[in-house]
Amino acid sequence: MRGSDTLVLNRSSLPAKGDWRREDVALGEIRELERFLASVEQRAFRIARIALRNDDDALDVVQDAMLQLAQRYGQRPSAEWRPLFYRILQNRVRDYQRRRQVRDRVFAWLPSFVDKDEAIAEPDPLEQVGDPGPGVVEQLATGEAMKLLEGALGALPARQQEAFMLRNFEGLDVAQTASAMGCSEGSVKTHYSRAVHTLRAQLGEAW
Amino acid sequence: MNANQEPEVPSGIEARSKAAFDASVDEMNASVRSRLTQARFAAVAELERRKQSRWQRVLAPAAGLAAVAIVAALVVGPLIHRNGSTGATLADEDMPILLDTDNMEMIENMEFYAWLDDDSLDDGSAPQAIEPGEPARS
Repeated sequence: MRGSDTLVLNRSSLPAKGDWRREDVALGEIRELERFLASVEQRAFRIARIALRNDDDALDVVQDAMLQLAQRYGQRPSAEWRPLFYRILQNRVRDYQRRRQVRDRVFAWLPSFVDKDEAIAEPDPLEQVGDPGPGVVEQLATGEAMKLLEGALGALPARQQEAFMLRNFEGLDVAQTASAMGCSEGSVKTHYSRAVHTLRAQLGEAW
Repeated sequence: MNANQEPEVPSGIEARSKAAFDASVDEMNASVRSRLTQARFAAVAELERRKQSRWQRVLAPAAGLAAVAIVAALVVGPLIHRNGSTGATLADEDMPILLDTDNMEMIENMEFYAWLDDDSLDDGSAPQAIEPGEPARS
């Protein structure tokens, strides 16, 4: 996706008329969106996975965010995509969390209810295949650290969790994080500081 | 650290948590990667579809109008021209003659002029026109 064959066109250098030029611009925008999505999809999945603690839900959320970005904001300048994408993602995560709370409340009245599909589901063989990157010992160490981190992040209030993941994991600046979270920059700073403070208190000993 | 003060340089916990997160992304399993790629392709296809439909919305009416104009020019135009030229010939040449009051006499003696016309075709030479009532010339 990041090869040199990708088409990048400067719109200002193009003449106003000519169908083939318009087609090139459209193709360039499509390729640009594809590159953007490829650059964020895995990190977005991990962020959604930490918030939702479920692979399928996280995949659904990321897929929805991708589609909505293409449908609603595909024509917008690519510089705006990043905060827009994460705003959509965070909104979808909150929708899932609310839905799950409602579902849990309803099922709390039905203690004998068991989802048979989930109970008999067999693991996907592909899921067992990992990338041959780091060694086993390193993976175990990293996996253990990440497990601890996920547990600590899961205990944070939702807004602190969002602020920490967007700022620290995704590298958004304060303004972009505020745009993605739909709040003021001051609120972002407050949420982030409190998140760091809490995580340090919880993980300081273990890390 | 003061809770209200945002650190400019990532602290130990921030750096370590980012490193752990990056590693977890790198170790993502193939199934999830595959599904993410499919989701991306679906989103890109959606954008392509929207772009195509946008151009179709603009171009389809214009193409329809152009097609109608071409059909009109090719089919209806020659018909109008042919009928129009015939009508124009009649109107230009015959109508003033027919409507001229000086020639009302000609209309009254139409049979005579028709006979005269046939006779001139048969002989190959046109006889002199003799006005009815005029004495024959020798």
